[in-house]
Amino acid sequence: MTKQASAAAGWRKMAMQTIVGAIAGAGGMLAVTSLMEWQHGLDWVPSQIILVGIGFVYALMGLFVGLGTMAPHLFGQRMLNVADAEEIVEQRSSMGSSALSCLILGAALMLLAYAVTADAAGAAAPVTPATAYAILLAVLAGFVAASLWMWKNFDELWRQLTVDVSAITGQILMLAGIVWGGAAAAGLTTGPHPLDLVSLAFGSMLLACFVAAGRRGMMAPR
Amino acid sequence: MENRVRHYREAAEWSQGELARRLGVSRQTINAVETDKYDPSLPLALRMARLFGLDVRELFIDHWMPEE
Repeated sequence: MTKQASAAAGWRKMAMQTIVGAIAGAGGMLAVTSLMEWQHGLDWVPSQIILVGIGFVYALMGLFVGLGTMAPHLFGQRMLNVADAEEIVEQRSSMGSSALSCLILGAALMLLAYAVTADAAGAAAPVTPATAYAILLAVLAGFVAASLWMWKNFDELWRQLTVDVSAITGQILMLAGIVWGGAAAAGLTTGPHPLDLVSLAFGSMLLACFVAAGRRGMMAPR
Repeated sequence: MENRVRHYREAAEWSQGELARRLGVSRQTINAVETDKYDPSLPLALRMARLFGLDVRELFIDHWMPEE
């Protein structure tokens, strides 16, 4: 295959991944919120929907990466931005840990949003908001432990990426905090709902991951 | 920073994976260096140069010149 044909194939693969991701994300999100509304007659407000959305994106990423890691030849090399299946095999342990962390974290975020929404509506939910919060804290502790373990196995590019993500996340959070907090203090808008703070933290990290990976050329088709 | 890693890797007939394995880094690192998206640390640059049997200045080209 010539370099031009290879590049075109790479862009086609990326376009397909984007379309599948967008359909799965939007469709899944709609299905989850519709199901919960239908089952419990819940009235979702934007703050809760946004947190469910962010949790859903984490869970979906975890699912895709997890499937790709478990079946590198069948799914991985088609679904993930890698040169070939061997690249996944080489990084199976760190990719598997990331996938599991994202999946569990996404589920914990959605559970918190659901528990708060159900509690506000006086509907029965599998867990109370306090329990959902405790679960999220426990998941976070596991997330930190997994990150520390992965750090030991990272090479210098991945360590630099982690530092980049932390820096970008901090900058987004600071900007959002100053602009939103200042505007709310000035009476120009309402202050953030408590769930907005959770969404802001995890949403910023998600955005920072894409920005940092893009800056290092890791979003370009392989 | 401009570099000639891809040139020397291809001359050695190594894949990115093979070079990554020899250097003990990930393939993404080799890809990021070759596409000028990441400047390697000094130790990694020195190892790359040693692996190709080159001086590091032959592999990584910095056009900076001191002011007169």
